Parts: sequence; C-alpha cells; structure tokens
Amino acid sequence: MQMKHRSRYFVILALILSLLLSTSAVFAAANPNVTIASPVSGSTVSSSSLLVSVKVTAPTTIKVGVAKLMKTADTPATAAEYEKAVKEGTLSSFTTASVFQDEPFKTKNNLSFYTKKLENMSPGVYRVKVETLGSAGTAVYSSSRYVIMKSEASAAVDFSSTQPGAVQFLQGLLKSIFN
Amino acid sequence: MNTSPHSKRNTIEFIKSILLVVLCLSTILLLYFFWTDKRFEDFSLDDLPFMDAEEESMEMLDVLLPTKMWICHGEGTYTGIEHKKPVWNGQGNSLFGYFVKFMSNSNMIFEEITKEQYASIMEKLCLCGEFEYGLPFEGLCALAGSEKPAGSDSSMSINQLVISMGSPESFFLADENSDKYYRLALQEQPQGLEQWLTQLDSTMTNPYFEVGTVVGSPIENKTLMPIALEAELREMTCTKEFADAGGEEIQELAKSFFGDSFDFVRKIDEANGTKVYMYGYGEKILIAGKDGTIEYKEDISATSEKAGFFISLERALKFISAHEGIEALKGHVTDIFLKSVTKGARNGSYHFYFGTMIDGLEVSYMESSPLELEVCGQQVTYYRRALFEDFQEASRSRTSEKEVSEAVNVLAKNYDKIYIHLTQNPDIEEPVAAQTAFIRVANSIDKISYGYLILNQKQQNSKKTGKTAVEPVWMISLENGRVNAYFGLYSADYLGCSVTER
Repeated sequence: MQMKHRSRYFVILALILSLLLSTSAVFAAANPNVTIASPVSGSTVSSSSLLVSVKVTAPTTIKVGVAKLMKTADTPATAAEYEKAVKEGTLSSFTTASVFQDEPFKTKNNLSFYTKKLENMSPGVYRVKVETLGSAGTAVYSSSRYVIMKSEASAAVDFSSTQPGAVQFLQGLLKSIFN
Repeated sequence: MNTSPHSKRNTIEFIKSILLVVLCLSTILLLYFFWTDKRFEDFSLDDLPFMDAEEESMEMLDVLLPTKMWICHGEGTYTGIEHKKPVWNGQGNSLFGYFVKFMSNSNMIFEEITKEQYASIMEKLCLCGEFEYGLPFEGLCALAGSEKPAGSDSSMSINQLVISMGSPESFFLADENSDKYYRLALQEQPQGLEQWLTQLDSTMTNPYFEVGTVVGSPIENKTLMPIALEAELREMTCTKEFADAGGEEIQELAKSFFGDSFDFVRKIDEANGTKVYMYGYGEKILIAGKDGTIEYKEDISATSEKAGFFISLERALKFISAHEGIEALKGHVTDIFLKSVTKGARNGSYHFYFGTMIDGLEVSYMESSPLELEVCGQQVTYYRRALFEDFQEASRSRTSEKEVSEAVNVLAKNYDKIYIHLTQNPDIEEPVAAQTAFIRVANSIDKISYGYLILNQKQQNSKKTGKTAVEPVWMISLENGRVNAYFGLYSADYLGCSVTER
C-alpha cells in the first residue's frame, strides 16, 4: 500500500516538475517588451496588402510569421466563421497554413521596430504571430493577432446628395453678383 | 534744270518737319537729364518708361511646388512622391495639367461638398498635392488661364488638390484650415486621366503608411512614413556663393541694386570683411557678409499699396531674376521652390521663404533659409541670399553599397534628441518617461522626407578641404515646420536640429 502511495506521489511530482521546467510555447506568455503595432487586433483590412509592424522595447530577438486560418486543410476559414469561433471560444479548432515566415530580427536597442509589407494577400482571416527567441534559439514568448482581409472596396463615391447643377449654377450666379 | 517753286516749298517744309521732330526729341532728352539728375554717360535707353525692358523672370509654376505629394493606392496604402515636379507640372499629364483641363471646360460645375465625401474619395486610388500655405483660389485659376468659376468665393483659398478614381469626372480642392471642400465636376472624365492614374499607381511602389499605423496606438498621426525605401543618394561637396568673392564681384552685384553710377551711395568696408553699400541715409542698404551671405533692406515707401499673394510672388521672382538669379549658380543645376509664406512686417505684405533642390530633392541648410524676400505691394523691402553652388560628387562617396535606414527606426533611435528641441526645456525637474517623449515626438511629426543636408562647420570633419560637405539625409519636420531634424540616410546618425520661430 505504501509503495502504491509513493509511486503516486512520484508521478504527481514528476508532472509538476515537467510543468514548471517546461519552456514549451504552449504555455508561453506574451513578452511585455514586444507589441504588435499593426495589424490592430481583430481589424478588417480592405486591401490585398498587409503591414506587419512590431514594436520592441528591449534588446531581443524576435521571429515573425503570418499564417492563414483554415477550417480544413483545403478550406480557408471565412470572416463569419472566425467571428463565431471567437465568441464561442473555439478558435483552436482551426488550423493554419503558413504564408510568410521571416528570418529572426535581432535588435540591441531599447526601442526599435520590425516592419514588413506583405503583398497580394487573398481574402481570408490571417494570424500574425511574433515569437521572442531565447539564447537557445527557441521561442520563450509568443503573441498573436488576427486580421480579416477583404477584397478592395468599390471605387465610386456618390455625389447625388449634392444639389443639382442648375440650382447650384443659379446660386453661384447670385453669389457672384453680390460679391 | 530749273526746280519749280512748288517743289522747293515742299522741300523746305520737309526739312522744317525734320527739325521739329529733332527739337521735340531733344527737349524730352534734356528734360530727362534735368529731372533725374543724371550725367550723359549714365544714360540708357532702358531707363526710359516706354523702353521698359521686360525682365526675364522664373515661371511661377516652377517655384509653386506642393509641400507633399502622394498616391493613395486605396484603403490605407500609399506612396509618397519625392520628385514632385514631373507629377505636379511636368510635360504631358500632370496634376496641375488636369486642373487646367477642368477649369477650361465650359461645362464644368463648381460645388461645395461635405468633409465625409472628401474623405471617401481620398481613400480610393487618388493623387494628392498638398501645400503648407493657402493659395488664393482666384489667383490659382488665373494661373490656369481661367476666371474663377461661378459660385466660388473671391476670398477662397485652397491647400490641397486631388484627382481620385472615387469620382474620375471630378477635380477636388480642399481648404483644410477652414474645413471646406470643393469639387469641379464635368459630365465625363477627361481623356487619359484613368490610364495615367493607373500607370502612376503601378510604377510608384515604395510603400508608405501613416505614422500611427506603423508605431501603433496611442499615436494617431496620419503623416506618411516610408517603409523599406530604395534610394541612391551620394555624398557631395559644394561651395558658398560669394564666399570668396572679391571686391569687384560684390561691386558688380551692388550695381544691380543701386545702378552703375552709385549716386548717393556710400561704401563701407568693415574690419571683419563685410562690405556695406548704403544709399542716402540708409533708405537702401546692401550687406555682403564675408561668409557669402547677401542681405538687402529697403525702407517701406509711404505710397506702397497692398498687393495680393500672386502679384507679390511675381514681384519676388522678378527681383530674384534681376539680381543674379539662379542660373548664375555654378555647376549642377539648382532649382528653387516656395517653401513657406508668412505675413510680413507690414499689413498686407508677404514674407516668402524659398528652398533649393538638386535633382528634384530638397537641399537643406540648418543655419538659415537659403533665399527669402519680403514684398510689400510692388516693393521688395527685404532680400536675403545664402546659396550654395558647384555641387559635385565627393571622392569618398560609396553610396551604392549601403542600405537606406528605415525611417521608423531612425525615429526610434533618435526620438530623445528630437524631444529636447521640441520642448526646448532642458531643465525639466524629472526625467520624462521614454514612452511619453516618444508619443509626443511621434504625434508632432508633419513630414518625413529625404534629400540632402549641407553640413555646417561643426558637423563637418576636421579635414579642411575648402569645400562644404553635403550628406544624404532623412528630414523629419515637426509642429508645422517649427522643428526640423536631420539624420544620416544610411547611418541613421543624428546630424542636427533647427528650430524656427516665425
């Protein structure tokens, strides 16, 4: 009986130690010195270009990646599906397909920015992920932002609410007489 | 052969007519000498009113250049245009060219639009030119060869001109100071506009974003900042105009102000090398500094009448042309442009500040403005000229190996130095938090561009070559041009800051 209790304690102790000593990114918090300035969290971009800008406020090395949110291996998630998943807390059910992964960005300054403009992005939902790399080159911190990319909006602007030309002309004529 | 009495009389009458004409001309000439108190050898046909020689002056559109120009590719992506002249007023299609087309169309309708409508068209594919100063609309129309359109106010001024695919049959104007927005509307878009705008969109690809977008919340500054710029600018040298000028050269310059005879003009040679020419009791003074700076002052005449912006600017350009001009500068072609305008000392007068350009890029000098004039009515009451010439590539220039430093990281590296000049308060009791200082600096930026900086004595290395060094630089302007900071284009090193109180 005592042996049984001891082995149980060992298992529990091993579990606790593995959690405490683990540097897995699964439990990595966001680095307080790394902020994703662009895109704004949950924003919608009506363009095929995306600016990724990361603010770093301490000497560090980061790695930036952008991935498209996928419902299945072949089907991208739509904006509506993403927003529903956010409300229900089921975002982890989606997978991702990497569209961009940059080389590590290293800075020795107390303030610097990483910027990258991505072009020709198809409509969909994207995750921007920034990892802070430790001395061993593995991720010690991680933070993510989601952005919805839509097709560019239509071009024409409606001016029909402004007064018709004839009335405007007469008004202008009266103004010019009394100027 | 006997001549008849009739023909003899005709001959006498003819000779009398000739004598009368000669006497009349002689009278006019003698009266001229009497009234103007000139000597015979000073006489010049150009002095006669009906022989008023038309001075060749610079074209106004050559100096009226937007402070900023950019293309919006749509929905928050932009490209800033540094070489503005061809797009503003070049051969073929240009922004001002389309303004002229719209103004000259007899079916054009002028109307005021809402701020929201204006903001909408600015988010579509569009080309925008923005001036730091307001341009009287009536004068701008005259420059385009047209009358101001019916319905427009005589006192209206504008500072932005836009063409947009949001409404290609319209030309948009804005007066941001008064929060007024207008459009010139046609029945259909002018020929070639859409193709030209699309072509510009595809060829101008250096990405620019708003400062607030790049650096993130809480900064909301909409000033455009380039990301990943490609530019090949070379280190150069130059010399100050008139810096080593001899007495004869200065005297020739002085003649353009006082006339060849120097009547009633005193010349003073100061111990420090400055030469002063003074007319009368100081009604007109010309000062030629040893460092090559030329300054001219003239007392305001009591009869001087007010003149509008464009008339005053025309007067300024004629004055510049009449006194050395710009073509006289040696070496590489230098262009000037109207950088800013303020009110002059007297009501209704204008103080014009000109900048200089090499290859379409601004050349700055921290110590002073290169060219400035004050115009009161038809009279130029102040003229200051501190120009550089003979621009040449420096022998040590190896720019092609270098990468342009990112504008946002130039700001990140140097914001603390800018902050000191912005606040002009080195005696703050507590150290300002870095974030507070960065936010203040980032929110105050109103222009980020690149060009050249002429280094002053302190900035140059100790090697005296007799020439002045010119560096490719980032230029960051803050608080409507009150503070201008300069950084190495490739090194991102801080080079200096100028603060102007106007």
